[in-house]
Amino acid sequence: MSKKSILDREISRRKALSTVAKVGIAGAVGIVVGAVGGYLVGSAVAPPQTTTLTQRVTETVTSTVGAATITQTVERTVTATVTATATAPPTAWKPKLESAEITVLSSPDCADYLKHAAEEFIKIYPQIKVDVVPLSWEALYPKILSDLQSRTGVYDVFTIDVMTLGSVVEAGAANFDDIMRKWPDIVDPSLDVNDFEPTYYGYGSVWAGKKYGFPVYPNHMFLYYRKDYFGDPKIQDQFKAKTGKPLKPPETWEECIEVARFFTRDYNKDSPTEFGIALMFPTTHTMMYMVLNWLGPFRQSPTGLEKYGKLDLYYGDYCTWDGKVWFANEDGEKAVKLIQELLPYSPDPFGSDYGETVAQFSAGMTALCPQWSVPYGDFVKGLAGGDLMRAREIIGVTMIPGIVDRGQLVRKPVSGGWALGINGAISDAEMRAAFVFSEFATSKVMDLTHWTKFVMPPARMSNWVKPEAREVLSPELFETYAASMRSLSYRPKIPQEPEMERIGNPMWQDIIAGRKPLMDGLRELATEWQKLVGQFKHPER
Amino acid sequence: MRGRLLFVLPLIFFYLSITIYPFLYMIYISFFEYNLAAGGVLKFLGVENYVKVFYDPVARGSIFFTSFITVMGIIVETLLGLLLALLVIGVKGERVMRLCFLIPMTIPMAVSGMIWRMLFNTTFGPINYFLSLFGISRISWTGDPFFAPLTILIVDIWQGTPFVFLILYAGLKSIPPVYIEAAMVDGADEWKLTRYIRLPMLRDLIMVVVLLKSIDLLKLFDSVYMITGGGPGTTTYTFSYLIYQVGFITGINLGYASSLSVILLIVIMLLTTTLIRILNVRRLLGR
Repeated sequence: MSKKSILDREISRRKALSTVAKVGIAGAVGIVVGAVGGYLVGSAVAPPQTTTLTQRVTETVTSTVGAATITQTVERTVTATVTATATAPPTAWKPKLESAEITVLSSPDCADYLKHAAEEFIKIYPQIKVDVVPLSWEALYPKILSDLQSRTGVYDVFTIDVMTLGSVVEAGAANFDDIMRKWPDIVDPSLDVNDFEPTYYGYGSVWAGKKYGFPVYPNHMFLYYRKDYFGDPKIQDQFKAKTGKPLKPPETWEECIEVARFFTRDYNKDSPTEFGIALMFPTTHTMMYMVLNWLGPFRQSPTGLEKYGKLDLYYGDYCTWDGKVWFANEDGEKAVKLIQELLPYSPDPFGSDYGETVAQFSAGMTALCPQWSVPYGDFVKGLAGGDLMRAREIIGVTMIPGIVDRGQLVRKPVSGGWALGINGAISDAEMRAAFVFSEFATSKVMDLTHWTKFVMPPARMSNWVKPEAREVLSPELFETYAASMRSLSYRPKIPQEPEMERIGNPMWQDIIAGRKPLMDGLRELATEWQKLVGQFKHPER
Repeated sequence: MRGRLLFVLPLIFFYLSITIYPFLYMIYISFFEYNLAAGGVLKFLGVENYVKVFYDPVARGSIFFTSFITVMGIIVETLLGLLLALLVIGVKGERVMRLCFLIPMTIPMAVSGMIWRMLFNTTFGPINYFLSLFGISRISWTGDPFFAPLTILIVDIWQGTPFVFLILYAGLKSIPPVYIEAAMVDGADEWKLTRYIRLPMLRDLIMVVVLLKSIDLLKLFDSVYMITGGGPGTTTYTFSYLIYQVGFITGINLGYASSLSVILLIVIMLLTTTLIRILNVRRLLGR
């Protein structure tokens, strides 16, 4: 820039003071207008503010909204529309509701959040009483099914575990599309279903193109690791000396075996931890999802997609595109062998479930732990005395490892999560209240509190781009969550899934523990499962 | 007469509606495929659900484990309960000891199950810590197919023995002292007193204990649910736990669960009838 042009831009002192005064007055007017506007936005009589901010989020997604059949390898761009209501208080819109009492049956993971949501909801709708009943997974699911089947309507709202969607729909869950058509006055203008994370929305809330819930808690597994050990130069040198490789969070299961072995004292007396990895392969429903962390990469690798066809969310990763149980072959054998090779480095893989592995990692017994997002709070308490900032230096989070196929790293953490569904056999007043509560609990504003207060990942894409979402807990956890979202494995969501679990969970354990010959076991299980999968009539084909 | 019947009618109705009707309905649906998770449509199968039990490996395994736990439980608990009753009686501090022995029986399995689960925890459990003092490496009490059935047996012995002790202790207390004194005058030592006086007089009570414990163990559920969850694999599936798994947890297959329940009911009824007959015969013979 020339000296003249700089001089041209110079301003006199008087002019500067005048400008400052103008800016000051404009600012004051802005504050007054803003305050009045803000008050009106917060009051029930004011129309909702619809300032729209559009964020382009480029993601590789694994499904399309409302469509069950997806192709995992296709990347596409998803546009997240962030409206002003995302930051406005949820009181901006308030439909007329009759007094009603609604009972929400919740899984333990969601219960604290839903209680919080209920308290907030009652502040806006004092005529509605919301009672949240937490139940263990094992008790929750039969209660939901028996209540829906018997049409007693004891529970109005319930949390749907993603893979039980088919059973719940068959049993009589309310169709949200019907509710919205029947009572347009209770459809929140800022509902914005396109803002729900499309994979989980399509997987856990939509059946045959119709809505049966709103995602409240999308989730998948991570690999937690001891960041302090992985960053310790002395330990890094030891690892390099033993393996000839640099110590880093494992990306493949083969690397994981090597790292787990290094951190197991029986194999390395200098290991800072007694065991390498906290694994859980009990005979509970944990088995059904754990195994997919290994099988998923084989199913969705480029070779797997060629062999087994594109993924169908009804059948999930245990089946081919056309509903054939595929794992009784060399791919299944390789996957199970990868699990088996990890077993010696785990404290008690068959006697441990969720609680035990969380305790093992929290107590510093293991260096690695595949787990969901919620135990992060326990890890922070156990390893960092509850200090979130210190925890960032101790607890590392990375994607679940995978396999390399055709030079491509394929990692497929298993998906989980919950949606909020409604009982189809309740009165109109209860149904309206239940629907508005479901909208409220899954709204953009409430969704953000999942993460910041309850370590439950956001279901709303607009919340992904919020700085506070990244900063409050652990940016690393959040980034890993977002990265994993692009590449997941799925359990079947057909109505036969529970029966598949009953048969499969103990059989998987027998196979993994070597109590059954590997290939014989896989063949036997595949045959049993095929009988069940064969009973399913695909609603979209 | 009619007035009296009117008073009783509500009770009869109540009994019929909550006991007889569900029972008959259970028998009815045991002949159907009735799976709540798959839409809950009734499809007649005839006796297929009953036949399935014989070729369902999990059902067969549960029958085996239930038999194992029943036989072992009865033997060990009866012997241990009897031994404790014999040892405690007449000893200084008898009241305190009696009270202590009865504590396990009074603790609900929901509570004691959690305690045992923690005690048997492979990594943090005190039992493994104690064993490690003797150089014994960690045992996966709930994850190992050899130790998991033992774990259930140990817990059942802990909880079931006090009941046996209570019955037999009361029986020993009710033996008229005159018999004991007469035998002592004849020079009988403690072994002979037990062998020829106490045990014969306890025989009927032991039969009652065996009967009640058999029914109890055939229905064993709570400790399995709380401690092993049926694992590893299906090693510690009892018949009741299988019914629960099939009917309420993942299967929601009420038809098959009902047929399993009917079978369990028949087995318990047969066993009970047989044992009651044995007891009655003894009484008739005046033994």
